[in-house]
Amino acid sequence: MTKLQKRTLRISIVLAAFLAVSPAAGAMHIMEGYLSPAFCIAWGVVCIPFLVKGFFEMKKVFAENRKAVTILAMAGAYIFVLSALKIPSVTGSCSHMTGTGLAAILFGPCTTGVLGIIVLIFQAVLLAHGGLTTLGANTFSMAIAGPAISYGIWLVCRKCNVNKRVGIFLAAAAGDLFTYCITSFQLAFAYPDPNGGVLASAAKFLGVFAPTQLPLAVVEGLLTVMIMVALENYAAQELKAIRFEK
Amino acid sequence: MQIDYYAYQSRIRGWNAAFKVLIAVATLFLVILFNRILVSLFVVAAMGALTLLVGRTPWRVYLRYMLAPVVFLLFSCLAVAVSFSGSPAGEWNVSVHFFYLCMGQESLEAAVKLFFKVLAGVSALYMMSFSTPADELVLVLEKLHLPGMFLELMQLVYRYIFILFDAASQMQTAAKARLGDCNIRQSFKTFAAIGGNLFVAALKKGNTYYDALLARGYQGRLELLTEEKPVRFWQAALGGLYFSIVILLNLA
Repeated sequence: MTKLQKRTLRISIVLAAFLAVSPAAGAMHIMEGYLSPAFCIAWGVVCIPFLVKGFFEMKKVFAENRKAVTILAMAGAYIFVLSALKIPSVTGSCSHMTGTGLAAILFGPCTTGVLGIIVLIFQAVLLAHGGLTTLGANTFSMAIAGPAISYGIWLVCRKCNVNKRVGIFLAAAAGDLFTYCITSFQLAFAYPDPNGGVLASAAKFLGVFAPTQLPLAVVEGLLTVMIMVALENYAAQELKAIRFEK
Repeated sequence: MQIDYYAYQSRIRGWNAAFKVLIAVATLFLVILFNRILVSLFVVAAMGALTLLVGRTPWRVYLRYMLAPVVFLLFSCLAVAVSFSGSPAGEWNVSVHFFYLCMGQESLEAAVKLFFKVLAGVSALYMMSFSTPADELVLVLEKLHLPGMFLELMQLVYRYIFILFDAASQMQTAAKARLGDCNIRQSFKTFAAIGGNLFVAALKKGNTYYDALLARGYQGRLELLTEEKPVRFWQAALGGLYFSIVILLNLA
C-alpha cells in the first residue's frame, strides 16, 4: 500500500469506529448506580435552592392564573416528547434533542428547572434514561446549569442586537455544550484519575464523549432555531401569552 | 414508552407500589454503598429473576433495555480504566509518542466494579419501572409529603405525555406519507415543523383540558381513587431474606 492509501484506510477506520459506536447519542444522562452515595446526595442538595426558587415563582404564577397549571403541565409534557423524538440523521443512528435551550428560551430558567426535574424523573422511569440515584446530578447539569447558560446567552444576544436566529442558535448549542462539560466534571469528581486527579479525569471524559456530543450540540442549535422560526410563524399569539415576545 | 405498557401487564403490578419502590431504592443505595462485584451480580440475578420470572416481562424487551446503557457504560468505564501519563506507569502502558496511555491493576478493578455496579443499579430500577405504572409512583411520592403543587404537575405531565405522543406520531405519519423524510435537509425541516406544531397543539389542548377540569369542579387538587394493595407476609419475608443475603454477601 502507498502512504496515501494507508492514511485513507486509517481515516476510514477511525470514522467507521466513531459512527459505529455512537448509536444512542442522547443527552448525557448519568446512569443509575454510577455515582457513590455522597455525590448523589451532594448534587441533589446543590439543586434545592434553584428548585425552591422556581417553585415559588411558579406558585406566584398559579395564584395569578389558575389556568397556568395545565399550560405548564403541557409544557413539561412537550419537553419530554420532544426529547423522546428521534432526530433525523445520516448514519441511521438514533439520537435525541435535550430541549433544554428551547425550554429555557420559552419558559425562563427557573420554570425550566422545576419542569426539568419532572421530565427527568419520567425519563428515568419511562424511557430508562438516567436514574433515581443520579437524579440530583442530572437535574443540576441538564435542568439548571444548561438552561441558565442558554438563557443568559440569549439575553445578552438580545441586548446586543445580535441577529435573533444567531442568538437562539448560540443559546441552544452553548446550553448543550455546557451540560456536556458539567456532566464530564461530575463524572470526573466521582472518579478522579489516579495520576492526574480530577482535571485529568475530566479531560478523559470530555474526550471520550466529544465525538457524540459536539455534533449533537450543533444539531440541537439548528433544530432549536428552526422550531423557533416555526413557532414565530404559526404561534405568535401563544408565544405572547407565555410572555416570550416582550 | 414501552416500559409503561409492560408495567401495566406485569404480574407483580398487584404488589404494593411503596413496597416495590422501597426495595428498588434500598437496593440502589446498598449497591452503590457496598460497591462489590459479588453483591452487584447477586442483585442483577435477583432483580432480573423478579422481573422476568415473577413479573413475566418478555425477556427480549428486558434484554434490549438492559443493553441500552451499555455504550455509555463502556465509554465511561474506559475513561476510568485508562489514564494518561508523561512517563510509563501502571502495569500496562502504550506509548502514543507524546504521552503514555496506561492502565493499572487498581484502575482496571475500579472500572470492572463500576461496570457491574451500574448493571445492578439499572436492574433494580427496571424491577420498579417494569412493574409500577408512573401514576402509582406519584402516589408513593405523595406519601413522602412533597408539595402538592409539584405532585399535581407530575400527575398532569404524565397524562399529557401520552396525548402529545399521539399527536406527534400522527404528525410524523402525515409527514412520512408526504415524503417528509426524502432527504436529510427535508427531514430536518419536517422535524422542526413537527416540533413547532406540537407546541401549538400542546397549548391548545392545555386550554381545553383546563376547561374540562373546571367543568368537573376542579379546585386545584386532583382527587384520584386508588386501589388498596396491602403488603403480604410472604412478600415482606422474601424482601427480608433478599436484603439479608445482600448484606451477608458484603460481609463475605
